[in-house]
Amino acid sequence: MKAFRGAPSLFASTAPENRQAHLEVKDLTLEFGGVTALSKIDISVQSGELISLIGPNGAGKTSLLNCISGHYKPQRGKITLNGEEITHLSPHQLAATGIGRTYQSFELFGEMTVLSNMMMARHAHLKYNAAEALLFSENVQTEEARQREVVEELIDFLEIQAIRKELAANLPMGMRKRVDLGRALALNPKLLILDEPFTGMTLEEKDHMIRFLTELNDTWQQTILLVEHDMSVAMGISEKVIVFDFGIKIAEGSPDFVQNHPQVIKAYLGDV
Amino acid sequence: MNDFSQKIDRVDPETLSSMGQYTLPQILYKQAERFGSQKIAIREKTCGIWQTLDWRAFFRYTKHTALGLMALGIERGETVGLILDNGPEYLFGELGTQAAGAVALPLLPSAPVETLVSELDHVQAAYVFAQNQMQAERLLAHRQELPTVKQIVYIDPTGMKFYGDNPWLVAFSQLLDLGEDLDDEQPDLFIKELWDGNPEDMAVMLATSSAAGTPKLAMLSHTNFTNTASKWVETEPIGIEDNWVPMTPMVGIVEQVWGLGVALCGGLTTNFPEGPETLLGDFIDMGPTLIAGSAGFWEGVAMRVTTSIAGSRKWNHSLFEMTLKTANHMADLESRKEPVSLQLKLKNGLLKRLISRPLLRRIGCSRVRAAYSGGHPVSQEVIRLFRGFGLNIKQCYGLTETCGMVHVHREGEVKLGTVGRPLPGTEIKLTANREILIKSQSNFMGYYQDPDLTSRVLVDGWLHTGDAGTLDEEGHLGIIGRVWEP
Repeated sequence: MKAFRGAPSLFASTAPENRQAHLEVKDLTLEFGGVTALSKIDISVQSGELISLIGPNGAGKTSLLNCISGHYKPQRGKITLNGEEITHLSPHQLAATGIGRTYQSFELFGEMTVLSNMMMARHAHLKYNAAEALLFSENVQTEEARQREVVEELIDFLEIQAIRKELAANLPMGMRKRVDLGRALALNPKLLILDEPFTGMTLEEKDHMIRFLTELNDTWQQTILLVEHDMSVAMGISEKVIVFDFGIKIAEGSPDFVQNHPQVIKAYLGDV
Repeated sequence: MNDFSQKIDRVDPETLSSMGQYTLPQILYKQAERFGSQKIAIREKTCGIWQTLDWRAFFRYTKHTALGLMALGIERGETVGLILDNGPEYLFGELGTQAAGAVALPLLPSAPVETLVSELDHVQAAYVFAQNQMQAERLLAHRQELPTVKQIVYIDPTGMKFYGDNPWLVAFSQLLDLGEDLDDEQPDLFIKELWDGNPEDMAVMLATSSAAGTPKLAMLSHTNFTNTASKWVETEPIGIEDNWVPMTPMVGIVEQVWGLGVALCGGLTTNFPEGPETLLGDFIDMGPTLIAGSAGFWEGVAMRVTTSIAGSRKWNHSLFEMTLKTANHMADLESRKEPVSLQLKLKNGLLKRLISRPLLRRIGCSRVRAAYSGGHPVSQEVIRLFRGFGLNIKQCYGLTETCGMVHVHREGEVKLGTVGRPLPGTEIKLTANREILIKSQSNFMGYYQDPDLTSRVLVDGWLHTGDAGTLDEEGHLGIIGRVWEP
């Protein structure tokens, strides 16, 4: 019954200390040949924060996310999560340390259903081995059912019951983004990284997404690092905003502070 | 028409005829006693799994809802607005309201907020059930215009944390807890309040424009509901634990009469999908045995079937045509009581097995014993199509003012182009200008705060429907349209 609609057990059963995510990026420099994509970046995300990363096209926002999630290897600098260095780990190792992310482009398995895509993310949490899986032992059956429950609760949270069995490739952009978030949440991440989660969304879909993110952050102290193009959305939901331009961090602070920062105005509007 | 050789497990006639003595929540009490935890009353899909509630649990939730409202301070005769999506809470909210001696006012959740507010203000609603944060938010924004509303009870707690401890808002789960506490304190209170209810009391107010032509609130009593419902269960193939699904929001008279009347009196199982948008997908899971849909719904299904057949191979198309032709030919012969050749029988049987049944399975209708179409008259082609592949579809006629359908095609007497014969206890006559007049115990109590209009529509117990019709020698009613009003 809707009256007893509870929080997903995935969130409710995770102790606050297991949600700790303190991310430090120190002196990070990333170069592609002669192009410096990121130059001496220092950022810090405290546990429980919702931070937005904004900047014009080509500012290096996604490059930074790719460094954090292990897709790019920076030439200099250090990234730590909860004091542990993660700079040179591969993406799958990072998933195990508790970083979940969504993508700007379509990175779901298009020919798989929404449900399978999300079940896939629970793979890291499965408690059986290949031999057992081959025999489909009782252990495997109960484990699969348990994981399905976890995923179903997320489906309920994200209100995507109607598309549960749809192929991911057939979904409109806004819905894919929601499924992508679901898949990232299914990992049960400590740090949730979202790369432009609002692109391709209608106003209504944006409202839903904002609701999910604020609830995750407010109620469950989910640490979120968000890259966003839409200034109004980013300013509306984040406590702290970091502005990039040409691979350099030009401003950092509260939404109000950043909005009135001369360099930010210049980066967005040019010399006035 | 259909081979439903299995016996229908009907509510016995004595019980059925006694229904008129009770209010709707009293009937729930009786049914919970009769069926206990043996029969399933409600089925709802949650988190991908079908959850069931037996009759005892249904009664318990309703009781706690009523006691919760009493704990909040509801008085007999007050009005409670329901801005709810279809779900078990709808039934608890509406029956709980009635058990506390109050009147329910179902409102369309998708209606503009101005409409909702003016309706709530018009009836001076004391409490409102709101589905979720969105509905609560809409009402909060117009709080100044709702001076009579004491509290809002919201169902879905998602996102409600942001409102802090706003005393105007109460969670449904909290309401149930309040009810349970009150039950512990005063164990006899509920039973006393329940049996203080009189079947002649007003149960529901429903918005309608059927007979009057302008939007009005029709007042319906418990007797109106029990009369229509028990006559349906008596005449139609309706049995205990038959599956039915509300196809549209429960603010319409058809969903109201089925959900609160027929389902309660007949002991049906009411199914709720995960959400409005999963209805069609969940429909196949539910395997309904009874469907009451609007004419528009059936036309939609017919169109889907015919377009997908037209888009398939020529071979499929001609097989489909042959099936329809054979079945309809046979039905025509049978209705004229002419002999049917063995060859035709064999052909029909074969096509039924190979074509019709798989097709019905595909659209989730393989278990349907009877399907009803209300609203505007559905075209004969649509009826012939469905009956051709074995779906026992029948036309009905009724208004909000007659508390639902009072005319229906009886089993084995389907006459195309008509809406069948009146239910037992329903009298019908035509005036000189062919206006349909109806007299039955289901005729409504009147329009809310509009005695003038009521006296024009309801004259000496005869309801002037404003619809024009024809009656044939067997008593089948045909609907022509609206009567021209000078």
